[in-house]
Amino acid sequence: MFKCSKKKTSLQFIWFFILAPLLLTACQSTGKTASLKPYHDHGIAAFKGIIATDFAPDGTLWRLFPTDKNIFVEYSTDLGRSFSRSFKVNSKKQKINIWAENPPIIKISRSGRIHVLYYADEDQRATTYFSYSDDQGRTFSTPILVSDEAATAMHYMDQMLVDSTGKVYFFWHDTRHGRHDPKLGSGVVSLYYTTFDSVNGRLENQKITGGICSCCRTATALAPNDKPVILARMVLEKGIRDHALIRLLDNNQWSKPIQAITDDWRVDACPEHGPAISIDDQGRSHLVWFTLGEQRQGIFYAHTDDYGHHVSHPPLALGDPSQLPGHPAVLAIGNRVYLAWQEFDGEQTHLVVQHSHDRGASWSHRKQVLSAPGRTAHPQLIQQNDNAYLIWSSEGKGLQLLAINND
Amino acid sequence: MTKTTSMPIFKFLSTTLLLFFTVVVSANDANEPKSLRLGSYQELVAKHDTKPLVVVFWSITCASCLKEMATIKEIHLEQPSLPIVMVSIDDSAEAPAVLATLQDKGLSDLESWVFAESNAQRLRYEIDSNWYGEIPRLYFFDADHKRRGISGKISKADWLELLAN
Repeated sequence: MFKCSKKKTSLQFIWFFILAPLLLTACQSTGKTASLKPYHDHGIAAFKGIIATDFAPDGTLWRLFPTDKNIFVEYSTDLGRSFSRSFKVNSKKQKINIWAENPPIIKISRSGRIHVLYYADEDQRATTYFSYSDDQGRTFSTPILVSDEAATAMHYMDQMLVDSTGKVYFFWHDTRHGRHDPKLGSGVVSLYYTTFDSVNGRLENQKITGGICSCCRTATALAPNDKPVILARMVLEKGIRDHALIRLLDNNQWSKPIQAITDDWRVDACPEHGPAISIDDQGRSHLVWFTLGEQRQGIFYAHTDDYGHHVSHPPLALGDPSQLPGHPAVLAIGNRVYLAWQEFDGEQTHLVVQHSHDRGASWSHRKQVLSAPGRTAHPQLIQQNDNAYLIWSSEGKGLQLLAINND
Repeated sequence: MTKTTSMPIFKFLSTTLLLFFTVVVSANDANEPKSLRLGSYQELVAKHDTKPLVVVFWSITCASCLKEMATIKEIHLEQPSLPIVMVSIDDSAEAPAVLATLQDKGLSDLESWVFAESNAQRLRYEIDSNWYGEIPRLYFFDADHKRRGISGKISKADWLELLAN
């Protein structure tokens, strides 16, 4: 009996190895799930199930793989079916501090430079480190602090953008001016930024605005003029936590925040539920966000052609309200717009997608495409050439990648 | 001259004694947070059956939660028989920081728990299937254990009104 079941198991293994690559190829061509290797090559799960990804211009998929002490990067030339050996970013062990709303980031520039941003606890809980590689990850620059007040102020919810010239923008929530506002309430911090465009560049920290809700990620995207646009949950008068757009003007000054969304969510709380933005090549900003406001509750989509002065109305409600829809992502490629978000059924988290072929005027039916048990990262939508990919990592299933062009 | 040298020594001794007593009192005061797993919430609520109860979900990194603690302390001092249970949604590895925060805010004698499931969303869903995870999240139970959930920091007047209803 024992012998028989052992043989059966061996046969199952053989069949698995024969069929798995075929299934992956089939899944890819039909637009269904290509479930990638759930664990690190050395058998270590990613810290908190969070893996960051980006495509290089040549189509190589890069992933940032954190443990509780180190940051590694790996690359795949076959859309994630297999990955290279790991390249360590931080040679000195650190206390990595990441969570789903505050994940590490990897971005590859047009020239192929690999930029990495991650969080670690030092003198202050949570501050950010930046490092880059110009030799395909073989060596990384010594990680440097992004904040110039890292010893005394928290620094988190970073976004990193790399423009067409390779200039890197960093944006983050900073507590150097405190976390309370006598008029607005608690959990109110500042939005800071800096840029990096040379090997010896000093990261000069500059304030963009105060009044930022501390614990919701801020979203950023590049406009067609290569300048950044920010969508942030702000704490407005009467403690209302609604969303505003801010952009870098042609004179390199930041615009004043323009309240783009009016949900009237009056709450003194940490929602831990930030928005997302993607800007198409004609300059339309596509926005997705979460709210529990007086006007509406749940996750929503809208677009604006003038950076928040006029916004499509009413917002499109996304998700099944009975399944806690949340953490939406958005990606615009030409006239196409892709949306993805999470839903939870009490046991598993599911990803649902919806798309538009006319810049957000009309929408496909919703479609549930991925599921995972256990702790998950937020979904990411990333672009490679003209293709859209949904990428998601979790403790239960590791990294999952799905081509969603024809869904 | 003698006076000027003896004063610092006296100060040093009194500070040391004060520190010593503070440490001892703190150690005795320490109410280690218990691990909240699937099923724990129902147990903690059932334990206070037939009595009004307040359960507060919070985090060490949530500024609104930390501000709310001043009000909780006032209510606790005024109504010491009202059970207020503090549940930190931080990872259980943060239990020492959770305890330190409660001590700092004068709330370490309250019953305290910390999330101990890696999938916090599953735990939250078991507590309230309509809760998206925003904090502070407060649940007021009346004597019949009818529950009312409120998100965000609220004023002392709100507390008193919710406790009276």
